[in-house]
Amino acid sequence: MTVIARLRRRWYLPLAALVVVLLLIGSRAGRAEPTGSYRPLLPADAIASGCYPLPTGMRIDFPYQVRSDGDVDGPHGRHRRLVLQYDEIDAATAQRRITAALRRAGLPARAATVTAYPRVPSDALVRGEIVLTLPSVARAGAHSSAHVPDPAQCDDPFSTKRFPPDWPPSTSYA
Amino acid sequence: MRELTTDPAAPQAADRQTRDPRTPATAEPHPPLRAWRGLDLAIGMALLVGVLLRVLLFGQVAHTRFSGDEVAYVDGAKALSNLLRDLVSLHGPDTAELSRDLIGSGWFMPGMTLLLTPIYLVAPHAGPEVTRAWLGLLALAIYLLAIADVRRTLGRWWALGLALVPGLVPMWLLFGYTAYGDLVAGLVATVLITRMIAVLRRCAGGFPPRLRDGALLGFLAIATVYLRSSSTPLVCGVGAVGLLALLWSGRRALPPLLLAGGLFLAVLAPWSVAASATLHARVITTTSVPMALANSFGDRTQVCYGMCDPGSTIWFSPLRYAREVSRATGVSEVTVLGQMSAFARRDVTPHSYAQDVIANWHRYIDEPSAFLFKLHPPGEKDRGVQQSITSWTQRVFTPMVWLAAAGLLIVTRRSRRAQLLSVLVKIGLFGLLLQPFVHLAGSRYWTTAAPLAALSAMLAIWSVGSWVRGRLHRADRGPVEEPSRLLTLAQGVLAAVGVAAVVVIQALA
Repeated sequence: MTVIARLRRRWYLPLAALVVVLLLIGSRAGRAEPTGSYRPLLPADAIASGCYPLPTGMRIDFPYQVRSDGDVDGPHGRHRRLVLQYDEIDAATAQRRITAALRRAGLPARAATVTAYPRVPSDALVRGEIVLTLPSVARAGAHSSAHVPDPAQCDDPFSTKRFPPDWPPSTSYA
Repeated sequence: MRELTTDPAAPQAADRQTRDPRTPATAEPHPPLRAWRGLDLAIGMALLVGVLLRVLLFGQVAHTRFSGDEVAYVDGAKALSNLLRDLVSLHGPDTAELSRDLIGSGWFMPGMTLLLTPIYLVAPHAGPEVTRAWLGLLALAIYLLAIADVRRTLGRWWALGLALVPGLVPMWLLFGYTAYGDLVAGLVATVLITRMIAVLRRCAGGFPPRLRDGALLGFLAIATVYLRSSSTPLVCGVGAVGLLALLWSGRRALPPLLLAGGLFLAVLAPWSVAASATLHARVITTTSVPMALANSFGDRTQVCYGMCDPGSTIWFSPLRYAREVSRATGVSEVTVLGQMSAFARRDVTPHSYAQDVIANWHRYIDEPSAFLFKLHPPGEKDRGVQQSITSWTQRVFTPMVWLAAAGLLIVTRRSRRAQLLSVLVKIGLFGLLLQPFVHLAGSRYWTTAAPLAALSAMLAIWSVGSWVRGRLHRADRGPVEEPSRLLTLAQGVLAAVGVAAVVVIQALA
């Protein structure tokens, strides 16, 4: 039997040898460094980050995600407009809980507007939206008493939900 | 040219020497040797020109950094190479890195990742030029395998067709240097189809498939899905045609078919299990379909129950939102994405759907060279080179599309091999062309369909050629290999489904 014929019959032997050689070279070659850019770390929650804290005493005790935050001018002067969505509870419960949260901070119930999303199925997680009108707040810094676990998050609009006005909407497909 | 007009079912002499002796012989006289040699020479010349073109085009992308989905595949390969290092040196694997870079958001199955792993194993810091050269070599090798199998199974005429188109289409060659799985998936799917034709032809001749046929088919099927999970409908369709083996070989075909299915599931399982465990949801292939549907057919301003965060893309912004909802509720992001998609699609009507399908279709087919905006040397764009790539690609692309469409309407009775080819190419192309019906199409998806479209185009040319020749030479007419009524019917049904789909979409829009 020729060498070629023998190799044809046992083709897996050179293949296995090649794999072993590659593994040996690879184990001495140092580590590769993936970028992770297709799975960015999830930014901190806008309220939990402590960058722009809620009024003292106010605590939200239902599942939510902040959609936008920032100061706006209204009929009664400049104020903070914080928009969040409530999950897994109905509008009445959301209204009751947010009213209680506002009351703990000494704010009136009318500071919250609760709107249930129309036509969401009964098993939906996201149920509706709450628009809060709150006193403006400065970014928590080194001198403030607020606890900021990771100050870098305060510069990330995806965390604070305070988006620069010139950022384009994420709706177009190149 | 002789092979065009004689029956393609006649196995070549060279074939007979190497192939299983049980291959059914046909009564077809051999075409003259000289014609074969001429065709082989033409195939060789076309391949040579193709290789030269590939070498020339490498300069276009050698230093182009990976971008878009390529990054995901490269990251996955780097993570996988680190896993191999850890296994060899008996360290615990870096599970955080694996879940972030290999599984990621479950958008991509790791076919290209596996192909790229050897490079990053040997050279963990390899630059784009090394990786792209490796990708080019892989694409060339798989292409040559596909050509060889088409030549063996269908004949030289068909191999020559593939060697010309897409083998000499500059944009298709350029895609060979990219890490997107589309092009390689199309080639592996072509081999899957030619292998299926070979196996079923033997079944029809009274020889049941062997276990190793089943293993090879199962492997090719799962490889196609791993490379590009959007080819799953194609693979399912080809698998369904494979059941004909039961009809023609009876129960003896069962073990190879079970082996094919078993191998498919066994190779799919590690990915499905890992992705499901990482994302805490049932993931079989990928997680991207709900958001693809929402972005294609739904209201993009309602995907996050309102606008998603600005400053990002239609893919990443909804995903981040889904992860935020998942963090708040403890429910898997995959479930959240499904609910978001349903919400954004509440107002989809047949009319809006049909219009979006048509828009998708145009995205699929209108600009085959659109990716040149990425695939050029960093910082510079040679307008002359870009223009010639665009114009040569378009010059071949447009006739190929029309001929392929004609091929989809062909119902042939000339031979069982031609019938099997016709049925499988139709199923394959329809499977791939489901994409515009469910997903925003892009201008690189055609690279998957290109080899099958070329075969469909060849089928149209070959059928017309056979018919004309039959008219001219009465003796040459009629089927040589017994055609199958079932396959004739299947072709008719498939062609009708294709026409119906076009008519319905046009009528609704």
